[in-house]
Amino acid sequence: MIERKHRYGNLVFDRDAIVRAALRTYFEAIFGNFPLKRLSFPACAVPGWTGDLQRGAFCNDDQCGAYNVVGWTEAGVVGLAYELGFGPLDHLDLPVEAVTGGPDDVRGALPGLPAELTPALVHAAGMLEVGQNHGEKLAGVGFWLHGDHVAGTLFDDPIGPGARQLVMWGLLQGGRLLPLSAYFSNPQNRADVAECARRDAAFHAFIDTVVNRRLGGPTELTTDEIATLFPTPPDPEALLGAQRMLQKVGITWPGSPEIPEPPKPTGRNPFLRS
Amino acid sequence: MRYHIPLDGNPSFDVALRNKYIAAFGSACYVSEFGTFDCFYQKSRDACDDAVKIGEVSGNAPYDKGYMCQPDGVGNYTLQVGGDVANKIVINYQAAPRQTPLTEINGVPTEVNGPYRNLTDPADVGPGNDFYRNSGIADGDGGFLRQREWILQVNSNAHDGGVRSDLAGFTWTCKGKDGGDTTCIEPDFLPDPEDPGATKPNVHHVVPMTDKRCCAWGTNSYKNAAVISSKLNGYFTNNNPPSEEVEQLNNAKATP
Repeated sequence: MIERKHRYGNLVFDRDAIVRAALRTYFEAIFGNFPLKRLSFPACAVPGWTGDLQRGAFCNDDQCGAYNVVGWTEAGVVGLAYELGFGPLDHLDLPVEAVTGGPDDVRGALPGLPAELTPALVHAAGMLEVGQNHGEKLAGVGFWLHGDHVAGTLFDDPIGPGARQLVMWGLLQGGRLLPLSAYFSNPQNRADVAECARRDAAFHAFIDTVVNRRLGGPTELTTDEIATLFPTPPDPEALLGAQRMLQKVGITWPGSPEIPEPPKPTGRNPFLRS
Repeated sequence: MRYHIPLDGNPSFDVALRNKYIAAFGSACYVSEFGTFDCFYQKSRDACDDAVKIGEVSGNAPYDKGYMCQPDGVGNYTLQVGGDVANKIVINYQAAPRQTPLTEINGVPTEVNGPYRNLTDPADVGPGNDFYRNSGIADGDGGFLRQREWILQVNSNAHDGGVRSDLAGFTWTCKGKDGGDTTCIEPDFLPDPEDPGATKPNVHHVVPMTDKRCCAWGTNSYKNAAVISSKLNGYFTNNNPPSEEVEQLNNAKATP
């Protein structure tokens, strides 16, 4: 764990806290957004997950063109963020001829990255979107955490595009990743977010219970927990979607039933009409 | 705060001269919301690199390129541009005015007035704001919808529960499977199960939230919102909105 002063506050980075917060945010996003919305102001609009709690990555996509990703291994964490127009070609001085379409495209955001964190970078970069013209991995700012060392362009260019997204990982509250609007909006809006969190406290506590149990190993939801998650019968498709997403992080329904795979794409490109 | 280079001539009124600066210096140069035309830079190095070309770009005597920018100790730079030491220009570190949010359509600067123009804006509308603010619309569970959620719900309510792209049918040049150029067409409905990633519905700032100089630009007013695919949003990135886009959105029926 390390604390660093930053333009946006005192940031505390802790590997285990970040991984737990990633899992918590993933769960929160499933039940904080439509169609299963149970919470106001979740920290993430559309979550992505790969790997497990030892080695993996989480993507926090805002569905407006910006996202941030944290990737981790036992050695530490790599965080990367993107805002429209501020990828490595525009913002990290990566020449077009140096684009590989791999993790090296965004190394410029992680100066001094220890070799031990290369696998965490690979996990994180695997979740980044790619540029439409040159195929470069898209991120413009980053940080790395290795033991009690933390660095990255998040600290060299503290108010650069994407920095606000990443500082939230150093501003966890009670283990919870907060939505950007909890910090970066006007006082009335911040008060609304805080009031909604107070109103949703019981559901947040419920999420913490399930997440803490999952940290000990794969877990099944109880019948009571399912009743809490779905006070009214959900749309079957929405339920199936939630089951698939939770299964990915080792949280399953009682008896761990088989969940059918989604239909495979046929290869038709929805952007080409023929 | 950005680095400002002193342009020769009067490009705020001389459109031909303005276009010469844009051709030479690119997105650093823009018309502000006050109608002035200037070039601003995030990095002093980029400002110095372009400042030395002002003479030749403007059509006046070229500047002497044998000198380097010198810091003045209070955040600005000076650049000697001729043999006389007094012959120098100042690259000021100063507040940059906001880029105009108007888009030229057939020569007329036009405000974006997209399909959600009839929704009531929240109190904190401003340049650089995202659509994650409180919409003030109750979510039916004691809480509130974020602006983004309200926009998607309004769209969905108007299309029998599906989400329709507000730029359905919009075409742009994209890369085909073979890496060559092809024409992409925005699908009608989002997402498409064939490519759920690229067809994720994004709530797009028509005038981008942040301009090329990383300054606040487009607002979170509903007038400035459109629901489009993630792929098309990535194509628009934070460039000036194309006139075809603004025209299509302004002509779209208001939702609701």
